[in-house]
Amino acid sequence: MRIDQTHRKWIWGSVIGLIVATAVYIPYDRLTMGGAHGGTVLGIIYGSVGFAFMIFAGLLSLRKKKPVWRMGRTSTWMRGHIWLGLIAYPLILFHAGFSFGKGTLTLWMMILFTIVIVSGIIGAIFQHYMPRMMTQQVPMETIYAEIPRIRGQLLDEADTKVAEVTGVSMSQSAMAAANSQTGGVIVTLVQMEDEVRNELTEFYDKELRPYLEQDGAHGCAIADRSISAESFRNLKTLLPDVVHPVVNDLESICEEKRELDHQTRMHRVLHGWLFVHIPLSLALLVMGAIHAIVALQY
Amino acid sequence: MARKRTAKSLGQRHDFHYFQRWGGWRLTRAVLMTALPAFAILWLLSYHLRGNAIPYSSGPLSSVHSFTGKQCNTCHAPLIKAGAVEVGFRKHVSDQACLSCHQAPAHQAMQTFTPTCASCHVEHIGSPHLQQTADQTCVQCHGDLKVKSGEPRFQTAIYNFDAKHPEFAPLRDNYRDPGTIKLNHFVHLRAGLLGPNAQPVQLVCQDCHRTPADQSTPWKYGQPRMVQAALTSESDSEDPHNPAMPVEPIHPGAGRAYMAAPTYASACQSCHSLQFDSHFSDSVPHDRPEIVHAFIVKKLTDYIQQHPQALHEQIRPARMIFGGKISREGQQAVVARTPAEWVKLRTADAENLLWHKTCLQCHTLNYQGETQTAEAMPEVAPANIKPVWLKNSVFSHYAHVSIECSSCHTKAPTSQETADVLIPSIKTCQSCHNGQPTSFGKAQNGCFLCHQYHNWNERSQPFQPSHSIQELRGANEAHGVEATKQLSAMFFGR
Repeated sequence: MRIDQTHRKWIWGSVIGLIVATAVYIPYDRLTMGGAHGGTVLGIIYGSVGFAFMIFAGLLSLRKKKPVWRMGRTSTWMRGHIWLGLIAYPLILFHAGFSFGKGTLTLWMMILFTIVIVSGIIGAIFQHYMPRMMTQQVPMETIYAEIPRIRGQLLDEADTKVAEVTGVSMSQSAMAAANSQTGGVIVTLVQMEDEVRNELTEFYDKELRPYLEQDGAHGCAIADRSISAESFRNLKTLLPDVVHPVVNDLESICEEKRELDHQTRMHRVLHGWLFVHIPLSLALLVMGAIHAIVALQY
Repeated sequence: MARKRTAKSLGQRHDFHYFQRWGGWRLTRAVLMTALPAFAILWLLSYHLRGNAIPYSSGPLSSVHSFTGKQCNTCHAPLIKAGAVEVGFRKHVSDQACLSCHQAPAHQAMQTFTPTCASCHVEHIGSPHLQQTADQTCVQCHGDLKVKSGEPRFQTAIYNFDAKHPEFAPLRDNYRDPGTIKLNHFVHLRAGLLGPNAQPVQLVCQDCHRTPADQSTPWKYGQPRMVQAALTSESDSEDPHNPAMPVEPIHPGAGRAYMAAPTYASACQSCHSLQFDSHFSDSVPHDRPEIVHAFIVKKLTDYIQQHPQALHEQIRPARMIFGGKISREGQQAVVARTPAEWVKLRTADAENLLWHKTCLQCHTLNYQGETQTAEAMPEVAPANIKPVWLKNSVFSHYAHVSIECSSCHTKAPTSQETADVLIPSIKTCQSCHNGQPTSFGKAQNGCFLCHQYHNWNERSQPFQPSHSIQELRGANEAHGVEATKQLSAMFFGR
């Protein structure tokens, strides 16, 4: 989510809330015996409000899972998630009197909370900038979960293209595709010398096909756009002009695979922080609930 | 036909049921979302089954309580407990929990408010001693002091050592030292003072003012013969001039907190001899006049028995001592006719010297009745030396051992009157004790440093302990080990 004008009310609300909390905290800390700590009435209030904000932030995932519930727009929940989650951190510090957890449980909670907040801030920055980058750099962006399937489709398409000009089948699926298009007979569009055919099949076997098969580049030279362009240019010089449209298609398939890889990388950056943020947030909420019960008891 | 990529062609590639499938990315996240909270719960559950509440501790225990370890319930007891049945959610530390191990005499009979133990002695903050209470705990009453009835005897608004703490009581209202020993500090600290054997010495404070622990060690001006004479009598009975000092346990500062009241044996005897007769080099014991009298009579009786020729010596009518003259008006030079008379005359002569010169030099002597006769036995006024001037506070000279005495007792080198109060002003203390110990160049100045809340004179004796060591150190550790084994078997099958 981009942090834009629509966040203005939330930003001001958070800043004012933080100023009020700080204004209350300063005299409270000075006048309280032994300084501010979680066991005082105000300390419990700070802790309760902070924990309530954490719970609200945690409910975002539930809200996303129930999109038809009439509980406000998900974008509004996301804004609340960002700003209330952020302000929860200073509130919890006020609750603890700026102690970073004196007990084992509270220490771990503060460590988790810090990681959650830092990962959340990093995630918010990514979510602010990367979608635009994604649109610019991956114009044919697809659904991330469908990338392996589309990669398979690209491979089949490339196999078919090569089989069409060389008569050499690369895979069963390509054979099937060719059969369905030609009535069971492999028909080559051009007559090529074996040497020339071998150049194409060798390039396809050793360079292009391994690249299309695998997830990512993993040592494939043609993953690099300039090397790829050079390779296809060289290939065209070796092949007759009539085959050049097929080579262009192969280059287009290669470019699409390159974009898919780039999308995969960007997606992992854009969403990878959630592997830290969400599980630790849940663990933190569980530990926070236990801490609240036990602290009130003791 | 050249290959074309359009949104439509791309869209047709998708399987629109993709969201129903669990890919690696989604599956990993779901596993983590389940595993991490579950791990947190298991972690806490494992402690719970072992009867160990350490993770919930709000901080490390103080060193004095750390031995109780995991036995949180020793202090955190439910309000109502009948055998194994516990009622009530809250387990705050009650005063009863503290008093089951500790004595805590009340502060003042007139106090209007008694804080809870835990409000002053804050636990779970680590190694600092529990008696290091925060100033606010004292200021909550002493910031606006009220008493049950009448007017408070103490300053009614004190905020800390640097804010509105009054000057020390002995330095207020022209208070005078009630001591009766005539001592001129200026003279005693003067260069070239005649010391033992008429040799000039330069006395320093420690020559006379020593702690009880140091007083028992050899003294550089000590003369065995004199010490023996002085100590023989002083050890027989309690010295009325030297109040007994409290016995302290053995540690480097033991017996070195306060200065002992200087005694004749420990500070005076080498220079101020108590010689009483020219026939003897001995001194009389530094004791009550009756004992001194008996000593003189015995000495003279023994002497005349051994030296009968001395009977014919003429008693001198006047005696010159220290350049001064002791008058004995109307007394004529006489010669004793019998040993008893000789003893009587010599005793009168010796006591005349002692009562009117030697003892009087330092002591105040009182006589019963209006008229003073030669035979009258004086009564020595109590020395009234105050070993502790500030009775509502504690102080340790040992803690300040590296500081020159005169740095704090600034008036002592020039004091010429016994009545001068020579303890340092509060400003002297405040010049160093003006901050928290962590502040550079500032010594701690918390109330607890000098003041005790509990009136330990009111300590009830004997104290009845109510816990066994097994109970405090963890009788249920065995239960904890068993529970851990069960938990391990439950999850790991062994």
